[in-house]
Amino acid sequence: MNATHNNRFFQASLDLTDSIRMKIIQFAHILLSGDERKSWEFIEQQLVNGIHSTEIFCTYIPLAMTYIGELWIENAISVVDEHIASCVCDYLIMRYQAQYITPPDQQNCQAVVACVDGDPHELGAKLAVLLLNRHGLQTHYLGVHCPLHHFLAFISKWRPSIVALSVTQSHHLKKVQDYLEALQGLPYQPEIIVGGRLIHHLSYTSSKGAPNKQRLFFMQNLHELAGWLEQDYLPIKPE
Amino acid sequence: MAVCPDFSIPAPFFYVNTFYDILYQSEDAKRIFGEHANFFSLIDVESRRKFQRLAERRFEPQKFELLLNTVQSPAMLFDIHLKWNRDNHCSILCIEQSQRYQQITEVLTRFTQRLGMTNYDLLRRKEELERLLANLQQSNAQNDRLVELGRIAASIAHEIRNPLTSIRGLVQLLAPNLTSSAKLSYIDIIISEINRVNSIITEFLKTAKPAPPLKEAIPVTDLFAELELLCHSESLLQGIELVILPVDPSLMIYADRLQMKQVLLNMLHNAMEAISDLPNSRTGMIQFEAERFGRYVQIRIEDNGVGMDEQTRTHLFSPFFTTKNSGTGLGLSTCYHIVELHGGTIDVESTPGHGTVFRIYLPTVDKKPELS
Repeated sequence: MNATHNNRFFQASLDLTDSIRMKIIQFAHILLSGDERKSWEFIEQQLVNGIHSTEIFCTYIPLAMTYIGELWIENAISVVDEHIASCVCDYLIMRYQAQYITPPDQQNCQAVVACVDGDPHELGAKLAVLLLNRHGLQTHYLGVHCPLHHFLAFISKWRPSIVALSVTQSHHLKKVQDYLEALQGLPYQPEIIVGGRLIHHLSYTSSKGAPNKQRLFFMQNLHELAGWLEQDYLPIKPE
Repeated sequence: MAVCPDFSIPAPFFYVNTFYDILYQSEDAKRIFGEHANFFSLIDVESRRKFQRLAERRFEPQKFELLLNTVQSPAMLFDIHLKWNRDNHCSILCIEQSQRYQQITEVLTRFTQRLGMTNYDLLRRKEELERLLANLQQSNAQNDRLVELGRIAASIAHEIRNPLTSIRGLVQLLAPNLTSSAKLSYIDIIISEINRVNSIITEFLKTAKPAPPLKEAIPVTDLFAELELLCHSESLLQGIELVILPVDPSLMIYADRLQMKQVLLNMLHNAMEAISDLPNSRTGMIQFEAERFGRYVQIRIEDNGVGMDEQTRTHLFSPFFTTKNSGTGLGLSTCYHIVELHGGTIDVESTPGHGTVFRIYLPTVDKKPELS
């Protein structure tokens, strides 16, 4: 692949070493082959080699998918290939959750994650769920196609301390505004996270005054989420 | 004057110039995408870079996927067929993939459901079993080679039997001449050893159908005495102290003498190897003892060799399990099988670095063996 300034994979991997970049490309091709077992073996091998799981979920998987996106731009693969790779990623995430993370307690909910209604891409949201779960937060994932009023009803019922929203397609960005305004009407103030690669295109202006700026975070990648969880997040004390 | 292409195409079709200004669009194109002045404006933002890359002027036709915004909904997946003509005009045909897309979505949904139901523990076990199977297949291939060697060995064994018979006859003839030098016991050993070799060869030749053990009442002292005679020199040579504690002469087992010897010899050789693996810090010692243990005789073989870890201990009696480079992994599994056929059992205790104790339990006989 040409390393042009236009290449998103190249841009995103600028501060990585060549050997890690090659590893990620190798991983991307395993994903494209659709071989679940080989992909899982790759993950386990990285873990054995001392790569931290945060790197796997914040760097390896997202960048491999970025690389695959660039292959589509180059017309080297079709949308079906992309879907195969993202299915394998789903498998890897589920298997990691099943093998290494204790399932969340159904009676409790500390965080909730959803995709903006109509946005079909959920890999980022699922990775966010994994990071939250791994941080010990009992997290519920509402998936794609979760209409706004259901989303709000769920939050009102469970009062999670973190509400995260994923948006990946540019034409869904304007919906985020509706979500944020609706979240203002909540009787309590959760930490609100809006995540997505295109989030810097979002110009949020609230008609009724912004929700507490202290508690609203826009995150462009999963590293930001992982770092925030490690350093800045303080759980709300139960009243 | 531009050559006018056939515009009556019943599909979304655009005719554009080098700036992608739309010169003509088919009825279907209008219906699906609405009125646009420039083709760029109907491409999804994320797909524009791809279009710029791939739509550059070339004479061969191009085909690629693109996300286009339709009147109905944004970012729909289309197959783009694109061809430049000599007048720097370009024909673009857009075929919607939604039907195909529908199928993919269905497959994805089913796939996701399956993922939710997958039992990951079972999956892991399945992977382990498959690895085991691969190992077994490999050892099976080795086995085939062993079988081939076995065939060759069988023909050699057959050839050995004849000279053995003559040696045995001649030794027997020699016997009366040796009475004076009190070495008669040597003759007995030679003959019993030749008999043993003969039986082993016979046994070997009919391995395809192993014979049931020929059981008799044997005093354990006898077994131990033969063992000492056989191995005394070898243990001296290796600098190992072989201690055989005296056994109550009335202690008898009901067993096949040859097979019991095979078991004890195997145990002894294992012990010797465990000792030879030691760094030379201590003198090797192997101790044999036997005593009554309820209805059984317990034969205890103790060494102060390298010992073994939990892993080795659990697989000790499994066929093909070996820790030696040149081992077949059959020795102890055969021993176990023999002892089991005699109605006995073997257990083992070991401390890595300190040594190992094997205990063989065999049914005892009280003086008179049952006649059956």
